[in-house]
Amino acid sequence: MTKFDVELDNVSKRFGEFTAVDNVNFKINKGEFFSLLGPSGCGKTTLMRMISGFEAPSEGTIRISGKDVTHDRPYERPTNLVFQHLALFPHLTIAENIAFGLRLKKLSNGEIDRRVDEMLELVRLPGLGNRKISQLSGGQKQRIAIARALVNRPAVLLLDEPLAALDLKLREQMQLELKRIQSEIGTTFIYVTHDQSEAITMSDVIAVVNKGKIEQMADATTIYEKPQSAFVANFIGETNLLEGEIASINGDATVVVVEGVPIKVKSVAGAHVGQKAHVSVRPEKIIFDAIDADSCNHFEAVIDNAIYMGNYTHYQMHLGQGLKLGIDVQNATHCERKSIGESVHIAWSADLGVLLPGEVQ
Amino acid sequence: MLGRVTQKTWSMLVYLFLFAPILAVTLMSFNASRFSKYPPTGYTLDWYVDAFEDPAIVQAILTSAFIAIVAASLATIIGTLAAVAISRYSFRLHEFFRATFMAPLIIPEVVIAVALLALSANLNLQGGLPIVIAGHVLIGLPFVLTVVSARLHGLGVDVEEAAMDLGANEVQTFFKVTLPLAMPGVIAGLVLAFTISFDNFLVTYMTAGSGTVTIPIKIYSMLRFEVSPKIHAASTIVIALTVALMLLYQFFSRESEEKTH
Repeated sequence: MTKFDVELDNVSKRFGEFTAVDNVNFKINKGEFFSLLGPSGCGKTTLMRMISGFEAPSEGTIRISGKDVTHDRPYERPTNLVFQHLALFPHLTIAENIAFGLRLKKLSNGEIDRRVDEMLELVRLPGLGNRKISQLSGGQKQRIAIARALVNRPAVLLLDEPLAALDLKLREQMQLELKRIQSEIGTTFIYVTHDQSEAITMSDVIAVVNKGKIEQMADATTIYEKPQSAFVANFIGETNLLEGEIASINGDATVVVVEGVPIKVKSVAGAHVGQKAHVSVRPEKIIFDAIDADSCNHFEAVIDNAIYMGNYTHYQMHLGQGLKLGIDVQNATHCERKSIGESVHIAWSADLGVLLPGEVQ
Repeated sequence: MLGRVTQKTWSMLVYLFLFAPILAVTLMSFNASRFSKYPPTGYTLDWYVDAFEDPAIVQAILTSAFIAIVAASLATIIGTLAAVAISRYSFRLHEFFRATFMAPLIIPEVVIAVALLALSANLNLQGGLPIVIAGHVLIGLPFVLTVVSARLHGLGVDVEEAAMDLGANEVQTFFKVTLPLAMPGVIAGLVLAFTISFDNFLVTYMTAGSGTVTIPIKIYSMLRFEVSPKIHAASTIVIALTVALMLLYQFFSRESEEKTH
C-alpha cells in the first residue's frame, strides 16, 4: 500500500486554446489537510474537478489510494465533494440528504439510521433529521453538506470554498469546526480556497496555484516566511516587495540596490550579480530602532501615514531617496504612537528579508 | 403620448375583440331561446342535457380525451428526455437536434399533416388513430421541451453533480434527483401538450379519416347542417376544459418558479 492518498503525475487540462492546469505534480499524505490556494481563475477548481471526476485531464495520471482513477466516473471514486453552493437536495429531508449515498450502497435501514445519527452528532446538529433543508440557517446547511459527504467514509474529502458565503464570525467558527472534524476522523481533506488566512489557519500543507501551475508547496510557516516566488510573497499576507538589481554577493550576504538604496539580504543559490531581483520584507519584521550592525538594514525614514488597526498600527513611510515602505507595529503598551511627518529610525535583520531572483512573470 | 384613460380604453377594446366571441358562445349556450338572439329570453341548461344525450358528442369528447391523454403522455416522455439530453449533455449536432425538436412550432400544420399522410400511406395505415396521435405528439413536443428545459436551466447542474459524487450513476441521478426536481415543469408540459392536442383541428381533420371523430371535428361537422344551441353547449365544454387546464398549467409553472428560487 502506498502512503499517499492522492497522487497527480504531470496532469494538464486544456479547454480549447486555454491551458487551465499546466503539468501539475503532487502527492498528498494520508490524513493530511491539504489546501489549494490561489486567485480566482488560477486552475484550482479545475484541479479539484479532475480529482473528483467531473473533468478528465488532457494529459497525466491521477491515483487515489494507489489506484489509477484518471478516467473513472465521479460515482466510481472513493472521493466526496462539498460543493461551493452546497447543492443539498431541496426535495429531501436532512436525514434523507445525508442517507443519499448510503441508500445507493444498499445498506440496511438500521445501519443507515445509525450512521446518519452519528454524522449529525459529529457536525453537532443532533435530532434535526426530520427537518426540511429550507428550515436551516446558512451555517447549518454547511454542516449538513459536510455530513452528507463524510457519511460515505471517503478516502478523500474535497471542499470547494465551502465557507465563502458565510459571514466572518461564522466562517472563523466553521474553520475551527472543520479542523476538529478532520482530526477526529483522520480523513484526507483537500480544501480549495482563495482566502489565504483560511488556508493558513487550517492546512498541514498549502499548494499555492497561479496560472495553472503550483508556485510553491509547503507548510504554512514556510510559505509565509520563505516564499519561493514574488507571486507567493505577494499573495500570502502583506509584504514590502522591493524590486531592484543585485549589486554584490559576498558569501551569505547579498546586497540589492532598490531605487538607489542598498538593501542587505541573505544570499540564495542561483543568483548572480547584475541580475534583477525582488526583496520581500514583511511589515511586522521591521522595527523602530537605531541598531547599526553589519547584519542589519538601518535607515532613517519620514512617516507619511499612520493607520490605527486596533491591535497594531500600520505606518506608511518613505526613505530619503523616495523608497516607500510599510511597517506594522503592535500596540502592546500605552507607548506613544508616531505621528505623520515625524522622522524615525527603522531597522530589520538582513535574514528576515527574502531574496527572490528573476523578474515577475 | 396616450393618456392613461385612452390607453386603458384601447386595451379594453382589444380584449373585447379577442374574448367577445368566446363570451357570446358561452352566453348563448345558456340561452332559453333556440335562436342566437340577444338579449337572451331566459336561461336554461337544456342544451347541455341535449349535448350529453347525443351519443355522437359524448363519443367525440371521449375520443378527444383518449387521443390527448396518449399524445400528451408520449410528448411529455419524449420531450422531457430530449430536454435533459439537450440541456445537460454536449454531443455532435447538438443545435441540429434542438432545432429539429422545435421545428413543429414553425412548420405549418398543413405541411405536417401532408407529411403524416405520406407516412401513413407508406405504412398502409390509411390515416386513423395512430397517425392522429403521431401528429399530436409532434405538435406537443416543442412545448414540453421548452417548459422542461426552462425548469432544468433553473435547477442548475450542481445537485445532479452532487448525486453523482455521492455514488449515483446517470440513470439513478435522473430518477432520484433530476426528475423529482423537474416534476413541476414536467407536469406543466403535460398539461400544455394535453390542451394543444384536445382542441387541435387542422392536423386531426386532415389525417383522421372517417373513423376518428374528435370533438373539434364533431362541432365543425354539426355546424355544416344546423346552428343548434347544442353546439354552443359542446363548444363551451371545450372552452371550460381548456381554461381549467391552462389555470392548472399556470399553477404548476408558478410552483416551478418558486421552488427554483
